[in-house]
Amino acid sequence: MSVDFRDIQRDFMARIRTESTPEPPLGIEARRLGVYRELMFNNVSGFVDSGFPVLRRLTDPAQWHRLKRRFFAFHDCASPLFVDIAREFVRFLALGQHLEGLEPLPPWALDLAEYEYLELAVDTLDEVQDQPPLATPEAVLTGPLALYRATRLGQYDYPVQRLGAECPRVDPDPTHLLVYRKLDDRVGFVELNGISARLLTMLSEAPGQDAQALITPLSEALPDLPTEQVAQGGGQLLLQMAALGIVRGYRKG
Amino acid sequence: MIQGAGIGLRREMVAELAEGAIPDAVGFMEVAPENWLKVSPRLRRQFSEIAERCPIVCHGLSLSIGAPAPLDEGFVCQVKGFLDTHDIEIYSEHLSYCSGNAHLYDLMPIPFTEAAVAHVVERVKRVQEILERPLVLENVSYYAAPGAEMTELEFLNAVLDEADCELLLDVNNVYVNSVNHGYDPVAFMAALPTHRIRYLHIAGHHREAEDLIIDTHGADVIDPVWALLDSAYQLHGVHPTLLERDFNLPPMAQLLTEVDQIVSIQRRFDQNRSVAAGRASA
Repeated sequence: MSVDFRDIQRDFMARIRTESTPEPPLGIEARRLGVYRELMFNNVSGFVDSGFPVLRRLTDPAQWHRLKRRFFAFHDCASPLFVDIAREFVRFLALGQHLEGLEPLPPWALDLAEYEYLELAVDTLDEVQDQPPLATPEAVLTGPLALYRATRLGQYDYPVQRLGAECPRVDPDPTHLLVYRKLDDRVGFVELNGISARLLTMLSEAPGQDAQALITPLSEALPDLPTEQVAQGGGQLLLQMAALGIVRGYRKG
Repeated sequence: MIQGAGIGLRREMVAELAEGAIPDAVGFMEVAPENWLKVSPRLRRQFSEIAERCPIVCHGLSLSIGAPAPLDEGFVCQVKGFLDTHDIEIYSEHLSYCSGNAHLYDLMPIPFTEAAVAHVVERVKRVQEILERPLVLENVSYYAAPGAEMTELEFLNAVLDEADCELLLDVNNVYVNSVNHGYDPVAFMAALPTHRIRYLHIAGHHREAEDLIIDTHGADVIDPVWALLDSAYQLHGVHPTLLERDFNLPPMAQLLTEVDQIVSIQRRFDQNRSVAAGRASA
């Protein structure tokens, strides 16, 4: 009775994934197993690199390499789509269970990875065809509203949007970033304060409310501020969001 | 129906092709559905525009037809949706696997055994049932043959025959494997069933060592592979043939010189055939 071919496959995959150079299986040249190890790691590695350009840039190259090796060895990616490798990498970082023994990443690394992934995720969201932008931004003050579906709100402990070659580290500061598909189809983001983020979250959870209905509970939640000031601030935010196409008119589905 | 010579449609080319003309020499284009199932609306629109003007074939990467894990039927349904949306007739995949309990995103060699043949055959049938199309399987390049109990040729022919599916004959892979595993590439091709061949692939590769070639699709096609394309036409007749180029992508004009070369070889065979036919009727 010969060995189950599926066990041969599982063994082969395990030897391809493992971090340190393994013994080749019986009858296979080490050099040829090495070809698979290199080709397959490099392929996944390329997708991680292109998904996280800023995190990659701000991480020591050898450390970045070890991190990707660990990802390839231990994280089981379930999706057949290459574009989902980035999502799996964020999950790998967030779970953290396989990071043992590696140099710790900066405290903002996971936030940054999540933000970089969010940009990719928004880019590939389904096309929204039933939410045309408002005819004029001012219309936002009069009718029932909805949050454009091609947007995602990210909440972070660090201002990760500032990170880059010129800004290699940041201090903690609660940060709300709204990533959205712009009117020209490219992906953009806006930084929001906590109150604005709350207003837009309310809108996304209960579409169909008008400006008044959105702003009233805010005044109640902010008793220290004059109602008029809250109303004005809320109105300005909605106008600004309408101009960007983030807040749109509500249509009964 | 596809005919003539084709190229792989890469994202880098899309903007240029969506706005401009599709070069005359390009008879069809090939895409990996995995790269187009989840894209920005802009890319999706550009793709649709191209697909309306040029026949498209799908050449998948992640089906993992020989995997030790269950077939991902949800994914097969997604592919079917894509094929139907864009009116794509041909879906080819690799006689290979790229996943077990996890996706590894590249091709590994299925152990050449009777049990693996039976496993693959059952899965091919299921895929064909869901897709309502024949599955076209490609002979893949491989660098090692773990667990082999028969030859690659025996394995390939057994799968094609028992699954009753079609063949994407990759001429470059035949060449790569003939060097990597020491066999006669022409004899290998001669033993393949002509009636199952749907289309051909040709590509460049990287020579790592005297006895080891890596199938990179990152270089120009070399002369021995062109000669093998000639042999393939001689043995099995002229079939639509696609140039694969995935890395070190040259400008379109340069890519087209290789496409032209495919077309000119095809013409030569067609002319010879019509001359022979003329002689026969004279």
